[in-house]
Amino acid sequence: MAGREKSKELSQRLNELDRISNLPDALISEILVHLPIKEAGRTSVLSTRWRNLWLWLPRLVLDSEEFSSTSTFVSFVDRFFDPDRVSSIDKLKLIADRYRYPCNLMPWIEAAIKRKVQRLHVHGYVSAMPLSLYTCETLVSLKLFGVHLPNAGFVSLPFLKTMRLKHIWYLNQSTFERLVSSCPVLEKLEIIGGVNDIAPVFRVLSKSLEKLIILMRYSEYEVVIDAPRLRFLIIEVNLSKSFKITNMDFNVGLSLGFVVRGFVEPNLLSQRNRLSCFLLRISKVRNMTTNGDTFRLLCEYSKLELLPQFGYMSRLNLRGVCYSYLKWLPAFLESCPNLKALRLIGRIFSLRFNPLFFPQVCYYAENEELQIEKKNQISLPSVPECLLSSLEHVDFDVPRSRLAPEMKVVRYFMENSANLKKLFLHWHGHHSAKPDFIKKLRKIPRRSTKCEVVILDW
Amino acid sequence: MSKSEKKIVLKSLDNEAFEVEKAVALQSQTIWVMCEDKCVGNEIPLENVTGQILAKVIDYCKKHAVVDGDGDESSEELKNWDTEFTKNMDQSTLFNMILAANYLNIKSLLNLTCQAVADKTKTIDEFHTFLNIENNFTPEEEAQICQENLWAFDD
Repeated sequence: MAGREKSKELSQRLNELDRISNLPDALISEILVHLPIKEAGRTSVLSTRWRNLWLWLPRLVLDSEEFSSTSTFVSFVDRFFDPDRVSSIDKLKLIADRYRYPCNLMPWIEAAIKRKVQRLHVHGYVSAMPLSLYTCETLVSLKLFGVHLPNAGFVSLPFLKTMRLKHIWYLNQSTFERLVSSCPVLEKLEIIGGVNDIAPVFRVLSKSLEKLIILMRYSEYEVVIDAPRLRFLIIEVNLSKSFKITNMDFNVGLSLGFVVRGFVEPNLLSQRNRLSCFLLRISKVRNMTTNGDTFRLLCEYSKLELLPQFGYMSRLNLRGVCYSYLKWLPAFLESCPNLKALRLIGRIFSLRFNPLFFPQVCYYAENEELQIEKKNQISLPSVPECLLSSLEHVDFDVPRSRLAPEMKVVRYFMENSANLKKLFLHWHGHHSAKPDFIKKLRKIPRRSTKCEVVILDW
Repeated sequence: MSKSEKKIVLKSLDNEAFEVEKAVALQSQTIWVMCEDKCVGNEIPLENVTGQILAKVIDYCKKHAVVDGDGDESSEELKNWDTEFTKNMDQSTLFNMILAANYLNIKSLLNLTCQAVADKTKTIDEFHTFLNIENNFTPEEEAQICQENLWAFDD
């Protein structure tokens, strides 16, 4: 009896201290969302107060991998999406591999939609999506991976702002187009890959879209863009298929990455018209970022056809461009008469040919670079207009191993840019070699009187 | 904006007054709404927060405020500061901080304090010890719940 009294006293004292249990349900849910779902479920045995609290989680990740079998996964998710529960779900990430875990995601997603889901992320692996997805009035963000999209009859997603569609099976060609064009406030769209042949044309028609990312290096689809408010575009497409921009605001920031298989001229010729139309379309671009392959393609193209004038372009970033490509730089800059800032970032084999995976390629590439260095053969004959007038910033963010050819390019900009204000150089070498490097720099005559050279340590 | 307009006085439940920059206080949506309504003067009474807790909340807001472009603290540094901030709080303080963050509607602070509780309670035993939650189930009931939620106890 005395023992019982004692335990009662203890429990009273504990109750006083257990203030967390006295928080409102909504705040306890806020704590539980920070726990892995299993841990959250285990809190059901804490006390009567906690028994069902975990079922009210407003944000959760459900990953079939975390469950020992399909049946435990299914019984758990079924329980979570009990039709009687009405608390809203802000965010749901559902990951289910149908091949390993054959289960039907449809009722769960329907339940989440009923519970006013705002952010929905489904990794479905050939799971079909419910039709109610097309009319979810609370949805703000939708990310789908590997799922089947049914035929879209009526679509109304009035609050959807971001959408990512990765490796989607479209059951009907018009589904994609209707889905995109029926979101009145859609701002960001990512399309990555595609898996079926039914939708060979991706029509991006949107009056609200501001940011578009299309990564389809390995798929051969046609893409049409009509998005007048677009401000930012990243494209990685295979040029062997058509690519059309019909309507685009000229204030766009653009990141280009074309994939061209083989780099052979006939191949290029066949794509000449396509490329020429495309370049004309984007000729009002303000900022452009491009990779080494694309830069090379544009330069090869410029030997056959005149590049359009990129009269509005003020910023150009060249990523992964190796020294041997820099010989084309003056010719390319001729097309950017008002360029203000140029940035060169990295070398091609540091990005694409990781020596760990491509030791052979890397060896040849290094070797090629070495040849250039030996002969010091980069010749930069002409001085484009932008160097004489608009160019103010040059950022040379290139890992340095050998100095000669690189110094030649640096010298080229210092000697020829009439209005250069800042030249950034990133020092990757040993600090003991730095004074010598600075000495060499000082000896280079500067055409611009305002030119400041900034050396940044890597 | 004159200097006095940039400052604001927050008064706690136990009548402790704190003068803070407006930009610091406005991280609280609740205070923001009060200021917008203009139904309060320069002094804002916060009836649900004690001085001891309010002082901590203000510390947090000062660290996270962007005052006159002075907020270029690196995110890494801020994260470390956050970790230190909640590291040694006992459950009673954390409880009061959660309530205060909720009442003042400071999302990032609510998130941080809830995360801190979750970090200290990774196992059920830790839940019982750190939060002093008393198990009021009979062994039979407990077994039944484990059975219902087998997926959570299957390893």
